[in-house]
Amino acid sequence: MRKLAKPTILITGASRGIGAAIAQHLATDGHQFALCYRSDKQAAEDVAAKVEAKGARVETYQADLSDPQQALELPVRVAHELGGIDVLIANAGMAKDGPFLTLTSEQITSVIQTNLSGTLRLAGSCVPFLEQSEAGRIILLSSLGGIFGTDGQVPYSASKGGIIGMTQWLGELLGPKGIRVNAVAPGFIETDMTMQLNQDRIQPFLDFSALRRIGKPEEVADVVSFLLNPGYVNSTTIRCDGGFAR
Amino acid sequence: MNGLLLLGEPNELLADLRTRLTDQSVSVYEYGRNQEALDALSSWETDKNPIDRIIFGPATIAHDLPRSLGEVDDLAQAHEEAVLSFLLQLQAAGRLLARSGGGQIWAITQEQSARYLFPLPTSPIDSYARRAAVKSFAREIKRMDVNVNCLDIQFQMDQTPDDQWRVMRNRVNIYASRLRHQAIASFSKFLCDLLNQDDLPMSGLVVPVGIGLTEQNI
Repeated sequence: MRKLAKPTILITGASRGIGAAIAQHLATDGHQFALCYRSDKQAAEDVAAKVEAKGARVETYQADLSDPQQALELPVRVAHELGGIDVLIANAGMAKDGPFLTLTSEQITSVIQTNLSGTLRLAGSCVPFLEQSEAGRIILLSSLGGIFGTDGQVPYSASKGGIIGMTQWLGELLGPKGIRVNAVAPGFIETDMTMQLNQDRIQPFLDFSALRRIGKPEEVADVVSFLLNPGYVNSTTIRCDGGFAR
Repeated sequence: MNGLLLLGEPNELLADLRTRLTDQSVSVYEYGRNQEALDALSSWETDKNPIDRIIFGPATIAHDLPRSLGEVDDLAQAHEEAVLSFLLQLQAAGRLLARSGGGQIWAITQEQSARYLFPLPTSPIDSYARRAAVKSFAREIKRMDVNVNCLDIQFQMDQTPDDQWRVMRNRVNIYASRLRHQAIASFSKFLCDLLNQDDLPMSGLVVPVGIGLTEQNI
C-alpha cells in the first residue's frame, strides 16, 4: 500500500483555466504532479514551472482524451514514470456551443467522446493504481450545466450530467475499497473560454447568482482541495456556483 | 394527440402504454434505439402519418467495475453509444415536431438509488446525461411549441422477482407502508394522462415517479 507522504496527483486539462488553478493551488501542499495537456505544450510548461517553484515535482504529459487509446494509456504512463497514482483530478473538457437543432453529429460526438467516455476511460484505467494507494481519490469536474442544464450547450450539459452519474456509480463501487469519488460542478467561472463571451451572454449568469459575480478558478480549486480529504463526503457533486438559482 | 413514436428496447412499460393508447385510437409506431430509429425520425412524413408525441424508453447498461483496460474501453464505448444515440435521436425528434407544429417529447430515465437494495439494471451515467440534455434542449425548443421532459422512474416492481421484493421490503421495513407494490400499469396510466394533455404546462422538468424512497439526489 502506497503511503501518502508524497502523493501523486494526475490533473487533466492542466495547461489553463481551472486545471491550471488547481495545480497551482495544490502545489503548496508539496505533492508530486502529472500535468496533462492536449495541445498547448508551452502553456503546460509554464504552469509546471509555477508548480515546481513551490517545491513540487512535476512532469507534463500530452494526451488527447477523445482518443480512446490515449485516454486508457495516460494513467499507465504516469504510474510507470512516477511510481503510482494517488489522486485523479479529471478536469479536461471541451464545448461545442450552438442551437442544438443546428449542431452536426461530428460536433456532438466530439464533446461526448472527450468529456464523457474519455473521462470514463481515464478513471477506469486509474482504478488499479488508486487501489494501491493509502487513500485514493477521484475528483471529477462536472458543471452547473450538468445539473441545471444550459441552452446552447446540450451536448456539453449531457456530458457533464453523465459525470454526475459516473460519480455516483464509481463512488458506490470504489467506496468499500477506500477510494473516495466526488465531483465539483462549477458555475460561471472566469476562464479564457468564458471571457470570450459578450456581456449579453454573461449577464444572465450574474443575475441568477446569489453572489452576483463570476467565480474565480481559485475558488473551484478550493473545493477540489477539500475533496482531497473529504472525510464522510462521497459520491457527491458539490456545486460551486455562487448560489445559482436556488 | 395524433400519433406516438416509441423509441427504445421493448419493455413492459412501453408495451402497456402502447396498448392503452391503441385503445384510444392513437396511432403508435415503434423503433429500437438504433440507426433505424434515427433514419425514421429524419425522414418521417408527417402528412401521411401525423406524429406529435415521442417517447424514449429507458436505457440499461451493465455496471460492474471493469478490471482490464479492455473492459474499461468496452464500458466507455457502451456509454458513448448510448448517450450519442439518445442525443442524435433527440435532435431528430425535435426537428420533426418543430416542423410539424409542436408536441411532447418524454425521455424515461431510471432513478437508480434503489440499486442499494437489490441489483437493478440501472444506468446512472446515461440517466443523468439524459436529464441534463432534456433540461437544456427544452429551453431552446419551447418557443417552437415542443415540450421536452423526463419521467424519472424509481423502479418497476413488476420486474422484481417476488423473493427479492420480500427481502428488500424487510430490509427497509420502517418504510414498509411506502414500499407497497405498484404496478407498471400505474406508471403507464400517469404518463398516458400527461400525453393526453395538449396544453401541458411542463417543460424542461424531471418528473419523479415512485414511492418516495429517494428522489433525484445529487
